[in-house]
Amino acid sequence: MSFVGLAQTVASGVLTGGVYAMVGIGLTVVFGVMRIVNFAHGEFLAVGMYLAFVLFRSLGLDPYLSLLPVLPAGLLLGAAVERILLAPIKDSAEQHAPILMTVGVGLILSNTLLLVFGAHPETIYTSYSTRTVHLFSITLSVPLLVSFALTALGVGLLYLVLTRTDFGRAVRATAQNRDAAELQGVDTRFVRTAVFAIGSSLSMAAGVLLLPALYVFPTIGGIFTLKAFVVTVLGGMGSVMGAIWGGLLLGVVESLAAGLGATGYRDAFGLIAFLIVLLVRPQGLFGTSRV
Amino acid sequence: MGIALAVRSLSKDFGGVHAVDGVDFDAEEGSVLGLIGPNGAGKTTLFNLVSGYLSPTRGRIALFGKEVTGLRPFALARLGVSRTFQVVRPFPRLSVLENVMVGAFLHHKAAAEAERHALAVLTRLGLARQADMPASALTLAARKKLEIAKALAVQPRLLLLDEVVAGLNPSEMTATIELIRGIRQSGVTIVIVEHILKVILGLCDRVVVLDHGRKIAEGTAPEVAANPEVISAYLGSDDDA
Amino acid sequence: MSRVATREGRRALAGIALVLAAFAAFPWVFGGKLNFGFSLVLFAALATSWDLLGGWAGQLSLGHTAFVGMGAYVSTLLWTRAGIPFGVGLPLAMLSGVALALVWGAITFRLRGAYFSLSSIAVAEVLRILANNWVSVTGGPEGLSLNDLPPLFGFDLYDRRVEYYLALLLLAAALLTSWRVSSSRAGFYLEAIREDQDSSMAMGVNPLKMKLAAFCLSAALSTAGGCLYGLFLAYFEPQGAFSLDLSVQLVLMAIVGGMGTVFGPTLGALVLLGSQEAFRSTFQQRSLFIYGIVIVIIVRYAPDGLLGRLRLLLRRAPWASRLPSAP
Repeated sequence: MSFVGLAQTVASGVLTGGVYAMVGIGLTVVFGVMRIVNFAHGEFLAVGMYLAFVLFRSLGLDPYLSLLPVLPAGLLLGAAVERILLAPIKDSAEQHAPILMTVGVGLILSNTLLLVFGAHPETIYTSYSTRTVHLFSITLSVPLLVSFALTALGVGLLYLVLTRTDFGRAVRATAQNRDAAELQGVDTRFVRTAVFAIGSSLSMAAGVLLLPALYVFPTIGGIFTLKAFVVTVLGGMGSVMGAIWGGLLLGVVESLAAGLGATGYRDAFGLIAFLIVLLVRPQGLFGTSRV
Repeated sequence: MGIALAVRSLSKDFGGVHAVDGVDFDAEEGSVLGLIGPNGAGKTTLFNLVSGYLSPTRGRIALFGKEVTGLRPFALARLGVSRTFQVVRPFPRLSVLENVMVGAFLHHKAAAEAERHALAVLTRLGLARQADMPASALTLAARKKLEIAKALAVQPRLLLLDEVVAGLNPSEMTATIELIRGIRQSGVTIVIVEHILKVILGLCDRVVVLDHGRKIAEGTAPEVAANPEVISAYLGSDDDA
Repeated sequence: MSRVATREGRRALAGIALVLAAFAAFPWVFGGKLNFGFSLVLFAALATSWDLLGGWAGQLSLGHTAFVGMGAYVSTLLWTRAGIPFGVGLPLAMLSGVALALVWGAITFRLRGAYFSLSSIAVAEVLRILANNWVSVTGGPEGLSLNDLPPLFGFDLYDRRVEYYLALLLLAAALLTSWRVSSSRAGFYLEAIREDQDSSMAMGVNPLKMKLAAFCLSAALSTAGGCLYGLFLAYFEPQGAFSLDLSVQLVLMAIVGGMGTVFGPTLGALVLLGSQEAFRSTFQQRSLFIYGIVIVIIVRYAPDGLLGRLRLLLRRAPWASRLPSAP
């Protein structure tokens, strides 16, 4: 592969990686605060994608604009799931309850989509779907570029919220030690609901950003749940910075794999990397995390 | 009499903190060794090291003359080491009997045998009546007894007791002290962490005092109680609080 | 004699004999529904073997189809590529399943439970991708056919009744394994690990060894089930052999019936597949959707499954006061 080709591959990988990072951040934050792995995380992404699709088809609403209704919708859906289904089983003696519960939620979400929309893949075409931009002899896809920019913006905002606001402090305190946080007056119940809502919303937003670039079908959620897992394990469960680096790494690895011709195995690369990291450095390559 | 437990230059570092720093002592077979010190002195870390839950940064541990440094808890159990936990940890959904059976299985492979042995241990500790109750339904005093029962079920030669009388009323405390004497009489070596002076004075042949991870005194209970360094360590820690 | 172990143990053994006898009679009573019967028995066996790992060792596998698919592929490839007949191919396939379990478990059991569940999805997916892409060996998306097998001990392997009884043999093995675990030291150790792993170590329990042992048993049985599945289908491809649906169904059967019990998974299989058969029109496309709802409801309101509820009900009855207190 020529140097330009390599740079091209890496650049596309970085752009996709940005979106992977966003998906991963939602999952890792939920784990950090609630110690729950949300097995339905990708399904929220699928819901977001379909919402954007419907808004586009029926109202002609540009996907990037549909972020405006989708983000709050994500917050609502996430909060509802957390309040109604997760909070009651939180202290269950059965440690598997949250795993099974989120698996169930995922099944319900993906199959509702299946029943409503059918199994055939859908896609949208906007004026900029196939537009590209040239940068130092590298060609970059405009939708991916915009997604990356918006992701960076979103992540930056999240970072500010986590570090500068009272709410952010409350979240970090709860993540470190729930009991201590309670003693300091933090309403951990609210924090848990809010964090899950934010995580779900981020996932849905990622779905919206991906719509111009991908086909959507009901089971796409499962694929992204796996990608989110890979990203968070690479980066360290609970670490936001880790998820960012993990997402970028995954994007680049997949892009290189596809570039070198192993397209069928592309998804397998990430999964194998994931299993290797579990073997060698389960606390993640970048962040620190308790296993 | 041999040396049941020999600890040499034992150290454990966490980041920059020397939780246990170069500790040496011996526990003679069949004796009761007390381990005391102000809060944060490293007693629990030392217990965790000797019972295999932590591996030492430096130093060695020998059990009845055999090197056991770095062995995991289950391997140590097989060699005759057993412990209680400061915050009692019964298996909540299992019955009292089943709790003890888990330990009994170490030396009795068949379920029926293990059950018989477990029942014997429970009887010895006065818990036979509650055998079929779920462990979570016991009173604190009974739970502390169950904790000791579980530790005895594996038929240890070295028993590590971590604050087994804290939270008990005077009569319960006396009963427990009698119980420990009985265990010692059956030939088990005991190392006991305790804050309550009465227990230390009443039970221990020798006492080791820790402060900030280091051994600052060793001797018989009266010797140690009169040691000025020991007194200032305890008083000093009050000032810091 | 022993109060806790033996009495429940003897009752369970009698129960197993009863269940097996009932299933053995099935083909004579419902001769026309052999396909359904086979699925029922096979899934009961698979769910029971899943539960050895999930209910007993406490590790939730969401990708158990990895073993099923492996069984189908390995046994078929051994015949088509190396001429090794089914009777030898099946045990060899089981060995491969156990090997996978040993490596996989050794890596993931040191970590928190959720990591294992995550890895299970990944492993199943990697195997599916492998089967799909390694065309020279696995035939890729075209799949494989298991044809022209010679008779085994004189029995025609393609006779549905023979396949049914082979599945029943597997179910017997699974139930007996589960029973043996439940009434033995292994069962106690596994329960202790689930209750409080650290505390159990002080009592001589080696958690890694116990979990690996349970995993190997589960893998062996599930892989054997996969071989039978491949035989039954006679033709399969990656999507079907490594199917997420299958993984989910096994989980569901175990939790509906009751995890960590001898009969729970079988009961769950009966309920699930029975409803699917009886309400076929309702199920159709909606199976997974219904499964999702059932999982959510059970986890929320009846985490011990049907058997757990039953036990709770029984305990309220005055004559139940002498039942053992363990769940």
